[in-house]
Amino acid sequence: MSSLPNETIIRPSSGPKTFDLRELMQYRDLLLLLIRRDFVARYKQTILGPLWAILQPVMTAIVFTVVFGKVAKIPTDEAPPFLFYLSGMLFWQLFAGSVSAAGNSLQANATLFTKVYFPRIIPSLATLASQLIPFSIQFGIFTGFYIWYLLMSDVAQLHALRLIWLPVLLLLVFTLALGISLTYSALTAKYRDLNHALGFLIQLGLYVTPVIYPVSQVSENWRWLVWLNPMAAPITTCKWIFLDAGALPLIPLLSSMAFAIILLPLSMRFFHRIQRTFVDTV
Amino acid sequence: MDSPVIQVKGLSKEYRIGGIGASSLRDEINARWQQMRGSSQEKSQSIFNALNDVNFSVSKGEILGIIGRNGAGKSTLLKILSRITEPTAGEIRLRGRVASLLEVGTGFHPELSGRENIFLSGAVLGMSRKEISEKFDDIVRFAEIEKFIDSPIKRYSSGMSVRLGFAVAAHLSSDILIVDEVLAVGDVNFQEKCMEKMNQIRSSGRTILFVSHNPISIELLCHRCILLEQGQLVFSGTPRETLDRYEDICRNRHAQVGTEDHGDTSLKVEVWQNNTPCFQPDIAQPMTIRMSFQIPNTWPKVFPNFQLRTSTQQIAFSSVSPHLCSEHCDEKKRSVHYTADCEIPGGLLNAEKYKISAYFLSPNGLTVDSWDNACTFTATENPSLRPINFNGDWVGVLRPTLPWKVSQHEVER
Repeated sequence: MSSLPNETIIRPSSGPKTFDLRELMQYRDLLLLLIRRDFVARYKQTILGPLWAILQPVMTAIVFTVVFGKVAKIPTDEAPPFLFYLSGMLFWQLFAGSVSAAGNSLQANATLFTKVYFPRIIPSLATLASQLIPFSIQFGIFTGFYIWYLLMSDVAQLHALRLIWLPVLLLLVFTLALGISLTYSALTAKYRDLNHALGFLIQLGLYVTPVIYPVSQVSENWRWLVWLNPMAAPITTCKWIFLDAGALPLIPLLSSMAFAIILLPLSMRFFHRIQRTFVDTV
Repeated sequence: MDSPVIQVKGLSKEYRIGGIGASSLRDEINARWQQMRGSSQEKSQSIFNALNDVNFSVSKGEILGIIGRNGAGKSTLLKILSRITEPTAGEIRLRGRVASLLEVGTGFHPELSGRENIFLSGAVLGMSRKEISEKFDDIVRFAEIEKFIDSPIKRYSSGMSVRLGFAVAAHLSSDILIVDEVLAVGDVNFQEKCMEKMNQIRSSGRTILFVSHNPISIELLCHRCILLEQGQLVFSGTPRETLDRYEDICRNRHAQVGTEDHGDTSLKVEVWQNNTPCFQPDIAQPMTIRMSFQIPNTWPKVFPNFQLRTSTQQIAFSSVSPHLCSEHCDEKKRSVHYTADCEIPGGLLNAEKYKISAYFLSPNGLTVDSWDNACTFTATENPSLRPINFNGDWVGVLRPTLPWKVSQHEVER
């Protein structure tokens, strides 16, 4: 008996090994609505509303400037500390925000998943996509400060050609965040313990990743260890693009891309395998 | 040829209980470690068959009712049909678009307005934005929430959000609709409206799978019915036939609970009246609670004891036998069987469902062992014997017939 059009066959471990793109397309309205829900629900009943997305990075950069710049006196490769931290936080915040929101997607949506079927990757995709909204706001703020800096400083110079790298970075960080979130939420579904570790790991990640310090501060012998972290290259690249801080870490950036390209399909397969019977163990 | 819209073949679903697959990292590392060390630790894992080789098919436009006791596998079947979980074996072929309604208000977010939630819930259930827009007004009208459509649904009364949830789901356009007891929501008016809507869906030629405990709605709506019992399809036929079979099973189950052997005491708790065991004793007549058991030789001497509870677990009373029972009272090493009878006089119990929990108490009052709900029975009454012309439920966990003395005094004004 062949499969007729419009026919669904349910079998143990049936269907493709990973997500069916055609099916995902059918649910694109749901994806859009979930993105909207994530954003609207986040700022409902808050006085400042989306202003929080502006306050957070600015306040963080100010605190970093005081603590790491003035008190600890960590050099910033001749770049103005405030912009150095703000640019460092740009992609770090996108990554950390995405992973902390989507790294638990199976657990967080368990009540929904036990009642209705839709591709279970959709909430993760929606969460990640909705992170682009605070990212854009943050980028806007950064651009504001950056233009002001370009106008005021004599040494500052805009390397317009380097801006081509930005979309590459965005895609890379997004892919990394998706791959890591999917892996983490699939693991969390199996081992609940990891749920408690997520916030802590992300906090730790901020210090392991060269966000508040330049890679040049790490001794040559240990630099490879920093580059092992796939987020190190995009963040350093971002600082190089805008502030000419350090050099373009081409090899680490390429290996980070390679890592992301390998991780994504693997994580999707892993997530797919776990989600199929996830509701049985909720 | 009209081929079936739903075809279920050899469907089975196993659940693992305990053992590997434990949800804590520590547990799993521990289990692996034990395995590595080659320790012969017995796996505490057991397999539970929620569904066992279920076969049926449904043709286009048919409404199939699914009934069965709690835990018979109805929900598991619906979950597999709606692709929420996977079967362990077997195959299902579904022709056409499936919409399943296992819960009212799936995907609602409390912070969002009714309007936003209609779109969200509709999308979660598989509708496109365009479809929802087309049906939006119908949904709002059906749910009767026109005035509140722009307030967040956390401000809704529970009735309002349930109505909204059902309204969204009822307007799903699909070829196959899977419904799980959602009609048991809302007030009487709304329930009638739901039934009306279901009838409308029924006449539109869609195929419906309908799980319910409500025999009336099953009989009203379904063309055919299947009965699940312990994960197996045990009967398929007209709604009336299937409901009869279902009632038989429920009654048999009652009998089983009463005679279930419990552990090494072989405890049996029964209700006797007129020298026969029965499940519906007459409250006007005396009845006997009989506990038959053996005492394991590891036990101290014990007093048999029981608690009589109502179906809401309120304890009506408890009674303890004044006789100590022990294993050692026979020296010929033959096993001793006890029968402990407690007589409940006529005119003490109320006409309702009671449960008996049996206990064995040591002489210092400690519970040696207990069996909750060892027996369930429904005390009945002949209403014509009531002293007053009142036909409603009599309040109280008991209804003792007590002596009254009413006297008259004449006092001079």
